[in-house]
Amino acid sequence: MKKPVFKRDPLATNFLVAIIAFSSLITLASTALQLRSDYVYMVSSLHSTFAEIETGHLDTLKDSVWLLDEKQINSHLLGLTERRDIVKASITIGDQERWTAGVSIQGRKMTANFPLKQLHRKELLQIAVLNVTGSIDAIYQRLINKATVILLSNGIKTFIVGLFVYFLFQTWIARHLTKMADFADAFKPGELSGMLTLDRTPNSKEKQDDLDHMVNAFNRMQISIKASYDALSNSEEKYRSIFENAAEGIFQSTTDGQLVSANPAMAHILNYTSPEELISEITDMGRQLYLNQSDRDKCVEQLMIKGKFDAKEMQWKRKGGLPLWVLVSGRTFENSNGDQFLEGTIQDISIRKEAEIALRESQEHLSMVMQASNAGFWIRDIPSNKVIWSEGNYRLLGYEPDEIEASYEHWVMRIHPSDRERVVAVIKNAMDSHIEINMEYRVVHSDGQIRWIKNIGKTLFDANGTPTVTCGIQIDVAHRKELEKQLRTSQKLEAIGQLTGGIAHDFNNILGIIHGNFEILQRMLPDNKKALGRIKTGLKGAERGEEITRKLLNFSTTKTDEKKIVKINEFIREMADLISKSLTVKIEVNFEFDEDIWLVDIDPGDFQDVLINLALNARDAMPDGGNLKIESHNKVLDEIYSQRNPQAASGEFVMLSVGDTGHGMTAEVKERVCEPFFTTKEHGKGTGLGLSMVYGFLQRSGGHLKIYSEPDEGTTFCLYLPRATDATQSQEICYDKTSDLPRGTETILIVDDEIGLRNVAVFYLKELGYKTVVAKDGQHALEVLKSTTNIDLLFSDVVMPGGLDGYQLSLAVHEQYPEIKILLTSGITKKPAELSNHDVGYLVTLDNELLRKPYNQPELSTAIRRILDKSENCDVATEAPEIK
Amino acid sequence: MANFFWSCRIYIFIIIFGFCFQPHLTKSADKLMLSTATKAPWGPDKTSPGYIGLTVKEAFRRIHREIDLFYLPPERGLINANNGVDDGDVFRIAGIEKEYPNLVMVPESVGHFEFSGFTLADHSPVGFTGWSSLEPYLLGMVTGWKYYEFNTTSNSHVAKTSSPKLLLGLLRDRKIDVMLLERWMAQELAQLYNVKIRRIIPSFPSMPMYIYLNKKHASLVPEVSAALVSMKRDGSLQRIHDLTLGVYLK
Repeated sequence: MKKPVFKRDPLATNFLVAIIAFSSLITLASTALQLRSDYVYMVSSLHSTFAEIETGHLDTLKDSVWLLDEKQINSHLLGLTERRDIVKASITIGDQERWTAGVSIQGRKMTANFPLKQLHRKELLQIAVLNVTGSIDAIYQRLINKATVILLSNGIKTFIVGLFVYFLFQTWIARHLTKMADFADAFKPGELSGMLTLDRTPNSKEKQDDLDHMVNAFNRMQISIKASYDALSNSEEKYRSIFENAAEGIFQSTTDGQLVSANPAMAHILNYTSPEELISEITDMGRQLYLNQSDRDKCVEQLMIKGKFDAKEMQWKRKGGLPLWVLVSGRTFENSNGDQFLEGTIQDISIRKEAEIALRESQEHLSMVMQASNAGFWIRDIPSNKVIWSEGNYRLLGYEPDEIEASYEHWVMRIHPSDRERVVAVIKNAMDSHIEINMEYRVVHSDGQIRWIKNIGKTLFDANGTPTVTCGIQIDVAHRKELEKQLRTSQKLEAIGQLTGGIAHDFNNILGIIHGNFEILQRMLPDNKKALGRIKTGLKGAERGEEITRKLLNFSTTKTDEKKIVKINEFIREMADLISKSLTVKIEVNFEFDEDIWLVDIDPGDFQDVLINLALNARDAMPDGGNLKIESHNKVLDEIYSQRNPQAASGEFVMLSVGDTGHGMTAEVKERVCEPFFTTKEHGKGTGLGLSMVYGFLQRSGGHLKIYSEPDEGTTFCLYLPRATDATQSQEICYDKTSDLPRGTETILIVDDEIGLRNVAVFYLKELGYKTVVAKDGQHALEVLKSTTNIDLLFSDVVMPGGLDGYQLSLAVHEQYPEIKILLTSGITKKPAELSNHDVGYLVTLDNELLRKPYNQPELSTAIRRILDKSENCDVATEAPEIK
Repeated sequence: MANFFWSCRIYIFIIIFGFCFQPHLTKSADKLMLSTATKAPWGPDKTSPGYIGLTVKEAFRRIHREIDLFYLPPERGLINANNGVDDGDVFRIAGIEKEYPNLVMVPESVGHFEFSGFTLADHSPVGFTGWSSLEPYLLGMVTGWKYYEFNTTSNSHVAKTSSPKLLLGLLRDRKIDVMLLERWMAQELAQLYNVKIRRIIPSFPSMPMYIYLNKKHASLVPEVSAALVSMKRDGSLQRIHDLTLGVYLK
């Protein structure tokens, strides 16, 4: 057996310290108790001494005092003071201390006074008082001494015992534990480095002690660990590969966000060079990795409740702070120490997410474009005959998605009867013959109107050639048709103009010959009154013919003219009196001029003729009187306007509008009204050349004409004359960028029976950030308001079918929904007299703030914002808005 | 009966008158308690009142007062008499009142006390030439014997006992050399306890002894003094002396 090497062992030292400390504590406690007991006993002894003195000494002392035996008395007193803790004994006679033994003390003491009484002459006479003083200090001192002795002796004893135990512990236990610890330190789980043995004589199996058991257990544990390690290594090897090579990022973290492990994929996803770099840098995942820390908080919260969370899409941050989209999933787990950790996976879905976002944006744009373009998608599953329509498809037929069911049969029934058979045949042919669908046909709109639709589609077939799905897109080509008609009209008018111009030119020449010869005859026959009469009649006829040819030449573009750069306001003001005299007294004439009106390059003489013609036409439309309003405004026409009005260019124009409250025109009349010789008047009441002359003037001036008219609603002619640039007046044309325009986020209800104008308004307003809701007429608008609660503004056309015009709708809305603000728009001037049938103040305000058609986006944005920013829907008339 | 009392009315009157004007008769109801520290044969013992007892009783009888005489230790008697516990102390030397200011001495002496010193018979003779000549010896005395206390203040070896008996014991045990005691008391005790003693020669001078009363009885002092004078004059004192101490003188 190896000689034990004694070296300071922490455990043994602690053991020794613990023994000493505990022993000392016990000693202190027991000593304290003992001293307490001794104190009580000593004090009790003192009391006993006093009692003993009282019972055993008083008689003797009394006799001595009676006999005044001083020697005896002193001896007695001295004897009393020699008792333990008695420091003084004295006999007092009266107030005088007569005999004393011992010394007076200052400290703590206990005094007993015993009266000495003598029986004298049959009476008990007090002859003196014995005063005995005991010292408590003496008791304390003895206790202190005793305590010192006890503590010292116990301390020494404890120390010696402790040292002995220390050495025993060191020899029997600690050194073996040290060896076990050294063995454990040297232990490598993957290797068996030999069995543990202790440096002592081994015990037999029957006499094994605790250390032997521990050694045996150690050795068994070693073997078991080796086996487990081998198994774990094999398992770890298997999963390490997955961890290292997984395409997904795999990580583990503490619950407060400290990253503890990560695989290479996660480091790569987050732009770190290695997992080690990632782990060392990330100490707070919530702050450093999550773009929104609240995402992590929510994940952790769910983890704490459910123990896991399903894959969630969220944004993290790469190294450097660049965001990325990831799909994160996680769960909680506990290690062997019971510490809770989080582990999860991440996938980089940035590309997919960007694609989704792009797709969504694209779909939104497509939807907006489709809404603006009036296109509708459709898909028909042939086997089930199930049809899916996009919202645009419903609108093409004039319905809302919840008004009719999307089905092939419903669609076929909406086709114009004349086109139905042809359309069905085309569909069938497309399915049979693999031919694409491309056709135009008419449908009956929900408002009864006929609309032209272009349908483009194709059929999909399965592997057997069986048709499975047809799908396509429908577009409302009514506008294109209208444009074509306008173009045809324009071309027709141009052709007529050329023709009439040629004829008029030739005819003018002939008239000139006739007129000239008549003048010659007049001079040749001055005295032939009868001949002169005939010549005069002939001259009148020729003059009349010249007048007609002149008008025809005005219509024709071939007529030469003299243009000047002028401000039309001045001309109109000069002609105001003439115009008024041209009309009847029953017609009220109002003028409204834009005082900053731009210059125009026109023939002033032709302009005057045009104005007079329009005034006369208005007079003829108002036989019973009415209102004529002549306005001038600066207008900027955008590309959208020119797209819708091919005869019009975009740019800056001066608009002159002449509006009456007469009987108006039908669409057919409006289409032909500018044709030469076309008239609705009785035969002989008009030449039919007035408006053709207006048309010709505008053509020559580079402008165009827009006519707004509805039967019984009056007519407004809007003449657009291009702005003339003058050296003194040149200025840059500033088109408002959409980003500079007033914007908003309010919800606007757009009401217009013209779907094209509705879509334009929707497009303009959505670009400006507003939310839009649409209605096709006044009744529909009221239904929409019942079901939609967050409408901020009503933007409505004035003239609409359905029995509820814009003003009537405004009154109803103002009454039922007073918080909704209202802006009206129209191309036609309403007679002011009609407003007297309604709430004059409110409607006058609306009328004054009316947005003139056509409007561009800046005009619309300014008007919308102005109305929305008004503090209340006040009934006080305000100034007319300035329209740029 | 009524006639009898009527006929004796003068006698009855005298008797009543006499009772009313006899203060000493009233006084005779308050017996004076007097102590003495002197034992037999001077003082009283169980069998005899002793010289002091007979003398003091006769003196106070002559002034129509009764006394009760009892033994008290010497110092105690003076203290009690001084404190008024008792009415007086008897048979003390003169000058006691200096130490006990509440005592009043009856100026007429009661008798003479032979203060002596004794050694054992086999002790070498001690000559007395003054109190300083006793310096070499161990003296013993009874506590409260003022004569000896006054005269031995300069002596360094003086043992005190509470009683003559104890003093004789000290002498017998040779714890003292000289026993300071009254001549006749010493002889009485020596005889009683069979201790052979020898008186120091020359002996100390005999001292007159007096009665001391508490000052509250100061008014009796002249009467008592006159009574003692009368007793000396008519030989009563001598007769008492002979009766009580004569046997010792033979």
